Formats: sequence, C-alpha cells, structure tokens
Amino acid sequence: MTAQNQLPGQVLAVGLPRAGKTTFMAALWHVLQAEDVPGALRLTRLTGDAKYLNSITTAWREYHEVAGTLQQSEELGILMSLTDGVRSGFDLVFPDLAGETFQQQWTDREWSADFDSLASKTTGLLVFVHPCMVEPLEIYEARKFLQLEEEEQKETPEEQADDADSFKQEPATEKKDAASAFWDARDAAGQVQLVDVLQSLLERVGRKLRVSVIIQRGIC
Amino acid sequence: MMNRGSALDGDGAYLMCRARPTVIVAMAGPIKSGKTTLIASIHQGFQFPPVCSFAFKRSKTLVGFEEKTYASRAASGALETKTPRTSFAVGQEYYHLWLRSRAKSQLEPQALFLDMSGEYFERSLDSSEEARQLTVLKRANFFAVLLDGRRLASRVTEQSARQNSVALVRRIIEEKLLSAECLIQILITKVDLLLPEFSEGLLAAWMKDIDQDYLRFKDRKISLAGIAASPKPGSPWPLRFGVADLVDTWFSHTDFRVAASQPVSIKSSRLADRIAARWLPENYQ
Repeated sequence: MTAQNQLPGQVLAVGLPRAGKTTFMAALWHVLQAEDVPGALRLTRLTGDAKYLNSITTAWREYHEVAGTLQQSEELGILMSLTDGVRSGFDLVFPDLAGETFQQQWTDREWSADFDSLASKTTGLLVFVHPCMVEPLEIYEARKFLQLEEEEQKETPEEQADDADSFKQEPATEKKDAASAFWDARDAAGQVQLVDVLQSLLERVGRKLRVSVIIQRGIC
Repeated sequence: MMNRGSALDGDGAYLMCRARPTVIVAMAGPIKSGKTTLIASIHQGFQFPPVCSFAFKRSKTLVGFEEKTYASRAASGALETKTPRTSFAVGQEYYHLWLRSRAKSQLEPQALFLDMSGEYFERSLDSSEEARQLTVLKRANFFAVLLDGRRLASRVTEQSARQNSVALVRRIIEEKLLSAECLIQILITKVDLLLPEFSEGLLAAWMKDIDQDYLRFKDRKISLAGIAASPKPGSPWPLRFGVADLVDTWFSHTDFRVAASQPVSIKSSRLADRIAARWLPENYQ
C-alpha cells in the first residue's frame, strides 16, 4: 500500500436525532459482511468493537426498528479498513454519534474534547437529513394554507354558517400571543441547527471537506 | 470551541470587519417601526427556495436570528406574528450574514445588520447630545430609516410619522454621523397596512409623494423602497415583499471606501512609520 493510492479518510456522520445515522451504519455493516452488492466497498479489517455493529445490524435485518444511539453509548472508535477494488484501501472511521450530541452543541454552544479530536481529523462528512424535516413554516403561510383548505371543504351556506358559529365558540385561551411564546434554543429550525453544526465543523477543520448528503426513505 | 451564536456586540462586529470587507446596514426608526422584523425576515427568507441573487454561506449569529424569528413561526403556537422588541438596555446588536453570489462572479459578500432600540432614535430627535452618542453610524454603508406604514395609513399619525423621519435624517446629517458615501434609504414598512389591496402602482405613488420630503437633502444619496416583511395573515401582499430586492442592493455593494481611513501625512522618520507607509501606501501621503 503506497501513500499515493491510499485514501486515509475519517468520515464523520452528522445529523440531528432520528435522521437515520444508526440505520445507515447497520445497513453498511450488512453490505460489508454479506458482500452481495456488486461494486460495493469491501471490508479488509475492522478495528473496534463489532458487538455494537452486530446488534444494530441484526435488528435491521429482522425488520426491527434500529434504536438510535444514546449519548452515553456513543461509539467513537469504530474503524473500518475498506477497499473499492481499485485503490488498495482506505480507512473509514465512522463514529456513531447520537443526534442529541449535535443538538446539544447547538443549545449549549460547546462540544466535548473527544468530539473536538474527531472533528479536527475529519476529511469528509456524511450529513443525514430526516426526510420529514420541514421548512420552518411561518404563521402567515400556515393560516393561508388552512384558509384555502377550509374554503375547499365548505360546500353549503349552512355548513359555512356552522363553521362561523364554531369559530365564535372557540375559547379565547387558544389564541396565544406570540410575544408570550418563550423561546428555547431547542425550538430553532432543524435545518438551522444542522447548518450551525456544519459551519462550526468547517471552522474547526479550516479546510474544505467532502460532503455527502443522505436522505433515507422509510424512516418518517 | 463554538461561538455563542447570538447577536454580536461592538467588539464582535469589529472582529468581523477585520476579517473581510463588510457592508454595515444600520436600521433606524422609532419603536415598533419594524427594524427587528425586517432583520428576522431576511433570515427566514433563506430557509426557503431562492428569493434573491445570493445563497447563504455562513452566519455567526444563527442563534440570535432564530430567537428573533421564532414568534413568526407556526411552531411558536401563536396565531399572530409579533416580533420581540429590542430593548434600550440591550444597546446595539449586530446580526451577521455571509452570502455567496448565485452568479458566476464568485462574489462572497458579508454584511452586519445593526439593530438598536427605537428609543435611541426617539431620544435623538429630542436632543442633539443624545444623537451624538450614535457614533456607531459612522461606519455604516447604508442608513435605513424605517417609516411605519401603519402610521402613514392614518391621517392622525401620517404627518408626525413623516416629519419625525425627516427630522431624524436631518439630525443625523447635521451631527455628521454618516460618512459621505453612506446611502440613506427610506423604507416604508408594513405596506400591507398602508394599502389593503395589493397595488405596486399605489405604492409607487406613495413613494413619489414621500420622496418630496427628502428633496431638501440635495447633497445626500437617498433612495426609497416599500416592504412588507411580515404581512398580516390574509393580506394580499406576499410574504417578505420587497425584502429580496433590499438584500440584493446591500450585498451587491462593493464600494468599501467608507471603511478605509483617510490618508495621513507622515512627518516622522520613525522606523515603524516608514514601514507602515511602505506597506499601506493608500493610507499615507
């Protein structure tokens, strides 16, 4: 293995809770073990504890929900030496970090020394985006949408009158004043939190990173 | 390891300006004229498909933006948007935005939006002493004076709104608080409350009329625009009406001469001065 054809890589999986990071890791481990996908990467060596990988992969194979990583059980040291059949091989460090870790970075504005060590060596990112992550809808748009929907549903003048009456009877307490809505950092839009994590990583690394964005089906 | 993410103070803004050429947009206007709402709507505009000629690159103040934007979102549980007011005690806050041109120009402009309580400007109207405290405006490339459309809509408040706005511009100019290159923008906010029906023609007529108020400032570059950053639900005015054009104007600004210090004459043979003159010839005569 020469320095020229070696691709030392440390890829960091980034994503908010329930974005599918652990599911992807389970599927990847299955593909590497089964070797039944033509052209797929092949495992040459695994460094680290396979027990965790085996447990999440078993769950994935048996159609069970793959439990997301808990912060206290984060796996920071799984290193897979892989080959694509052309190049001799490269190392893929795939730390399985809980989505809460990234969310906590947003709310607490700090990250751990372990994470900092990982971030400083990162050469690429796998960014997991939940398929149901929606753009932060504004009140204006939400009410416009509901108004259109209500207008479509109204069929007769009698029904319209009923709707008007029911609106009048709506308890006043349901009308919440936005000014009284207490803001918590966890209320921030998911995509903003994710962007903040990415830009913080870029600043830490100080160089361009290869980024793959992964949106998985079926995890809504 | 991570920056705070909240709005920047003067020191934080200074560091940003040192890092790269920075456009500073100072928002001015009385309390509730829509300064913070405009800043929040710029941030919210980047959550959706392209609305201007620029794409988001980075921001040091995402937490601050989110805090100001939350009350306009359905997730807040509110039925009406009501942006939290910037209090006098907070002082001056800067919001940072670094964008990338969608064109091939590779332009990556950075801007700071200066948000201050409307109380600063109301006090400035009453006292030149108070106005002179606003030295922070000297660095601004754009001085955006917000003229409340809700107040223009009422005959009772129209004249005071217009005249207070003119008086503010006059006071700021008289106190020499703006650089010669700074562009003054009169922004008619809440145009949805000024004109219940959507009509850009009527808005243009309003702007033409208001433009007359500012003809007296012949030596200054003054432009007008109408915006509806957060129209009332059910309004025919689209969300963030006029905001994208403003963003394009601000971020297309490339004249940073205002940031440079005036050339100085060197009458010293000190080694440090001679080196400085060699390295920064544009700053020395």
